[in-house]
Amino acid sequence: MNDGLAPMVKIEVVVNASDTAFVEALVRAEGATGFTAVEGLTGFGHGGRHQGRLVFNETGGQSLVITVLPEDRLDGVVAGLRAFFETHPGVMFVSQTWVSRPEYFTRDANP
Amino acid sequence: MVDSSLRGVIRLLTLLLAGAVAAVAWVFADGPRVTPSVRVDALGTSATIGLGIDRVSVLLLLLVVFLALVAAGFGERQLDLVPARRFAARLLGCVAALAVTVTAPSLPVLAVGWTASALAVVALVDVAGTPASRSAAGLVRRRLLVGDAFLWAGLVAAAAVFTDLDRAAVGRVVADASDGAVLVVAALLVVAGAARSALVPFHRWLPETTAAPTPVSAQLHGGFVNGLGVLGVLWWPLFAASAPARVGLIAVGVVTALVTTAQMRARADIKGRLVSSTSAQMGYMAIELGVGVPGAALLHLLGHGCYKATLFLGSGSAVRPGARAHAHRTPGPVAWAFAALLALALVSAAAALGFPASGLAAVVLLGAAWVTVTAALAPVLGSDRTAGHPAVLTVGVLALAALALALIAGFEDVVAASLEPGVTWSTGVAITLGALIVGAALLGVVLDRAARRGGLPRLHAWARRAALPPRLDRPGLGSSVEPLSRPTAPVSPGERAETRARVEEAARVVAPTYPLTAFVASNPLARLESLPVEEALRRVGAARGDLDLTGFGPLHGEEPCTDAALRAVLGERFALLPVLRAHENTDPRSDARPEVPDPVMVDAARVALARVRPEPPGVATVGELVDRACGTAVIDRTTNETALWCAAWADAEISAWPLPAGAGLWAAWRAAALPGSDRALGAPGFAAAVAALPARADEAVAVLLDAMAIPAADQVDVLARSLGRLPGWAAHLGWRVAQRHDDGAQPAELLAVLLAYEALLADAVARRWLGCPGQLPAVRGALGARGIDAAADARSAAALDLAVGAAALGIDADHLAAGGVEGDARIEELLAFDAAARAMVWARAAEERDRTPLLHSVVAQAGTPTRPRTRAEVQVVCCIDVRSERLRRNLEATGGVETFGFAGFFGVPFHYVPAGASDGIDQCPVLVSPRNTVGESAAAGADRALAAVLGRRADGATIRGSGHAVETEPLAPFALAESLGAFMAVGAAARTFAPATATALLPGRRDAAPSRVDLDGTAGFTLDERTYLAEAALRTFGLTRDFAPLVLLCGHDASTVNNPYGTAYRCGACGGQGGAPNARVLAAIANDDAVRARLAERGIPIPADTRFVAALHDTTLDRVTIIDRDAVPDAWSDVLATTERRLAVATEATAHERWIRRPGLERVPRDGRAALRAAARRSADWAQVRPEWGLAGNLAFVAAPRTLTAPLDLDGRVFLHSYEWEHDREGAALEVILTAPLVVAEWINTQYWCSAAAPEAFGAGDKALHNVVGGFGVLTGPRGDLRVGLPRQGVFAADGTRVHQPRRLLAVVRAPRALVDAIVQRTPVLTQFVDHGWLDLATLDPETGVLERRTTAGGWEAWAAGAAGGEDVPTAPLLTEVPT
Repeated sequence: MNDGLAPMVKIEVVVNASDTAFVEALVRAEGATGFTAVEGLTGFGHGGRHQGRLVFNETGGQSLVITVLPEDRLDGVVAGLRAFFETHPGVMFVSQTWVSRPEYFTRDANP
Repeated sequence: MVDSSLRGVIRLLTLLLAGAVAAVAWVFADGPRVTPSVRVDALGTSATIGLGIDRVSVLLLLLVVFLALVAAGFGERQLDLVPARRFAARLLGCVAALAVTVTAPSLPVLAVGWTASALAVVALVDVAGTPASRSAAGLVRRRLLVGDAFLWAGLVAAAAVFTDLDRAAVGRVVADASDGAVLVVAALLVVAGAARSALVPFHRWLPETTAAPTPVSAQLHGGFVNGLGVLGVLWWPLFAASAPARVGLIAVGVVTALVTTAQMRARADIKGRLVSSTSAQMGYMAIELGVGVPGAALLHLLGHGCYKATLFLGSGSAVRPGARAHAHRTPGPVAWAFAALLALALVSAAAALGFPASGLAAVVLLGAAWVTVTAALAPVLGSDRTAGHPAVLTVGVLALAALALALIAGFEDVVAASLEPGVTWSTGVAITLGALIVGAALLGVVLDRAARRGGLPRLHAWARRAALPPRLDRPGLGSSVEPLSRPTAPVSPGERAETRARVEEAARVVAPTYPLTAFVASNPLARLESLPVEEALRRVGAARGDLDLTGFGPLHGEEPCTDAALRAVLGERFALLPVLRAHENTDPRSDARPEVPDPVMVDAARVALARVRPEPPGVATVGELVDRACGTAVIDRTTNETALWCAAWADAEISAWPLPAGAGLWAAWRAAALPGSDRALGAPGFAAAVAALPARADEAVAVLLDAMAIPAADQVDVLARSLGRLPGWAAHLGWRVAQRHDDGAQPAELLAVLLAYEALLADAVARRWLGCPGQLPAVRGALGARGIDAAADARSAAALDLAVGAAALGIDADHLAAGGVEGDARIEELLAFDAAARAMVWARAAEERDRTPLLHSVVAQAGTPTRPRTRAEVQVVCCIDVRSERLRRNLEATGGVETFGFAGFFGVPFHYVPAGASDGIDQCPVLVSPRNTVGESAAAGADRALAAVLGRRADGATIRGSGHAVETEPLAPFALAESLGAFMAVGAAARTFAPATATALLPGRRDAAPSRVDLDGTAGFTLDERTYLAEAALRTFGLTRDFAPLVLLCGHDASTVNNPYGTAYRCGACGGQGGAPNARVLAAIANDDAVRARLAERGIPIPADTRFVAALHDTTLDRVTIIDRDAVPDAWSDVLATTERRLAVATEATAHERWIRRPGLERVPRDGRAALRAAARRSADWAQVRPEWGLAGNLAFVAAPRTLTAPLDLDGRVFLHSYEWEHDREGAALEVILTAPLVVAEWINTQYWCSAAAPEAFGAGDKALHNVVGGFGVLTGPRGDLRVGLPRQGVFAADGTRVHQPRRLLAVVRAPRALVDAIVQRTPVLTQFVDHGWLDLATLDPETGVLERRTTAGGWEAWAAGAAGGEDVPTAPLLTEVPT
């Protein structure tokens, strides 16, 4: 798999739409150079079923925030999310991934 | 209903004014008079007691009486929360004292009037009676009396050296006396005048007066603060004779002008800016007196009084909503150069034509005029030439300036004789003084320019700090601040991320609040909606400490809740009913507490508490503990300072000196606040200690929490308590994070500032006075060692609560103290039944009582068909806003009209850029971010007309820019006051006594432009999008067949003037804007043939003879206007004309009904026409604090066909959304309704609920005390926390009754229960609302007519009539049958 690809860590977080701002700010503050957010998720979990995209309400559903960072920037994000999940609903998945342009993810996020 | 005392005062003052005018005419014709008087000889001197009138004094008298009249007129409408009698009496006292002062024929009379007016003013400052105004009045009294002491000393000195103390004789006695004696008397009088006129160093009392209502400030700044000028012109020969005294005047004036102008540039609040500007103007007046041009000083005094009073009264318009129509282009150096040349030409012409008076007067006045005209012309010359008429404006400005100069010249001529002798300076002295004055002016300009670019941080910080109370609450440390003892190891990413998460959790006690430029109702508890309501209130109560929950139940005078109703709510806990009653506070206006139980009982309760709940409730912070132990005011001082810097950082409108751009609050505070902070706080080493803290706010918070040794488990509580000290600013910052995506406003930034102050200062105090570091365990230990129990208050309160409850249940003291398992279970039960729990029981009981009639009626109407039987001639679609209900009902009564309810943005969210605007505004609920942009362009064939309108608007903007430049350039305002004062006086009087006429004549009212909305821009709506939105809209409110020939889409808006809360009356669904653009857009889409073709394919055939037309309902005026009327083709003119007739009838009936049904809006007009006139008057009245009631009274939300509710008179209290389940079996439209309009309605409801139940904590207070800050919010008084929520006048009537009774929203949906339940279950937002008690949900089955209500446990229960406690259904005004 590693023909010229560099290893990175991927974190995927599913949270209420109203909490996305916190997650986004957290990952950026801890050195992620970017993230992708997918809104309007449908699913089922501890809180029961939740519906996907609502026509005139972007704050009522759930979102998925995906970010990729080098392993040395992982601690902050994980610690923050752990503490966050003590009082808020959501899940996070941490997995290994490989990227083709590692310099994208290792540049200084907060110059 | 309206207290007649102020009316009486107005009549009296009008008579006095007439008398003063007559006196002016008489004196100018005949010469000076002294009315019957008594001559007194004593102590080697003599004086006349009586009234002395000459040209100068009669002009001053005219000013005093006129301004008092305007203040009284304004106060009549604005001051409903202040007893009118009190204000009237104090105002009259002030006028009388000032009249005595200005007409005093001799020094002793003057001194008496002088001190009497000081006392009267102090009484006026305290007229509101709040603790803040009382302490402000105390400070003002102390400072003023110090000044008065100098006046009396001057009187004594004069009695010693002069043989005659009369004004008429002053020239003679001064010539006879020695220079030294004259100097002593003059110097003492100068100091007295300087204190009165708020010159340096006496200038700190004036800002405190903004704690008083606006009319008091107007009277104060207009008629009282000019004391120095009054002394100077009335007793001019005394000052003319003493050159050293005059030099002193010049020096004081120059220093004051420099210092207070700097302070003015740095103020973020409008009233503070006006106050500092007054001091500067008084300094300028002192310079004029010192230089020897008393005529100019008199003119300045008169002009400035009117000018400043008008600005104060109009300070509510410092909030400017809507899109920016034309940005000010700052004029470049070329524009300035041209402006200076043109102004010089004008001024030279005036000089050549023989500007009168001595060379000195001419130099001063013409110099000031030159500066002002330059400042006014520069924006005109630098403006955009493509729209607007700069040439016309240039000529206009020059003509105005020439007129002003002519008036000044005329005035000088007239008063010159009364103000002899003239003054001459030797050439050397004249040049020196001139150089001093000009040099100071240039220095001021240079410093200002540097500070505007962000330089001079020390000056900037010092100027900002002027907004703090004058040294009243310094922490009084007497020791130095040490850097934190923790070794500065860098904070690990894990630690700071955990801190972020804790901050996020703590910040839930504060919900974002919208700025007043686009005020959208929001729930102050919004971020705690995932908790039950009770729990949310507990959390906020723990953080705030000032939360009084008694307002959730009935107040004194309101309908009490019956035992049966309470029993129904308590259910299984009904044994606690006696406890509830025992805690009942029947009169919130008295300090009476529930009967205090036996002290034995309270002691027993203490014992029981210690056993059952040994942990003290809540966590006090280090600062709070240290304050308690040492008697310092660390927390108060740091709260004030932090609020000041929040305002400075968030302000982009009002102050001229910006903080470092682009920096977050923490970084900006570190850069701007630290210079000079050591001295300001009395804490050497503070700045260095802060500089040693991390640059990142989250790291700083982690370090500070660690430094105070707060255990991890308590950190969230401590952080919440810190935020709870400034909930308003925290809420504003929350908005910036959520809506503006501003990372620099994260709660960690605010917490870093708060904690830095607290940790460092408390540490210094603790080390000095307690001998321990400022850490939580250490300080607790130190308190314990001194026998101080930090939690004593909280424990006492809890013990009292428990004792009352136990007594009510008949538990005796011994059992309480002894406890035992069963006993302790009862105690636990009592402890769980705390204030929050009891408040919710009261709330629920009252809600059930008020909802029952509605539910009855809805059930009774269950079988009605979903559309009317006869085809309507016109269909009107209104916003669901509760105010539409009246209009719809009255419209339907005219026959042939079918109405629908739909969200006011009509389902089309977009970013709207009006014609000629430089940026746009979002026209949609804040739940949605618009993806499309809509512009405004000329209607067919109306290009020229639109261009003309835009040209006029551009002119208006240029004039405003010009006015803005003159007000804010450091030198220009000085001459402006003289020239414009008279005009503004006329304007102020007109706006107060003939508001409708005056506002109609005001430039800048919205000009109707012949335009159309432009959907075809690059980010406009594609055909697919248009079809989708049109279909979604029509299906959601259920108009998919049987179209009438005319479909009116009626958005709503509100028109008020001088009202910071103006946007609160607008459409919440349109993001706090008016609904006209959305109505126009949907109409354009629905009239589009291509769209109609597609809609027909999708099952919505719109016939060719149906036309959609946009309209706007102005809820303040109760007027409905058809928009784009000219664009409607002739085929529809008949039906349009009929519709307009129907609307006219309906709006008359609506306006009349509004008056009858809602109390407190003055005497009821006799018919609809009179009601409309009264509404127009209220809307145009700049003093009116209740132009309309808005959504007060909102109670329920109904989603059903209109036929269900049409027969009912719902009294404007229900949100009505049209919904027809029969054509929406899958529930797609229902889901839209429940997840968007219902959510917005819930926010509105909770905002009103909290503002009515806890007005101090969740409301914005009295509008008369409001002080616009930053252009987006208000403070109460001169400083402090930003106010959030609704002002008292939005919820309470003038007599203190609640017009909005706090009731949570009841949502009634006509749809099968299973469908609604499924939607609720899969939408967490809705589940949260219903499960946690934020709103109540009921369904009416369309087929069976059974009403079911959802319980908080998640189940449903059928509702039967009589279920609420078996009592009679009261006949509320809500829901009588409408006569058909």
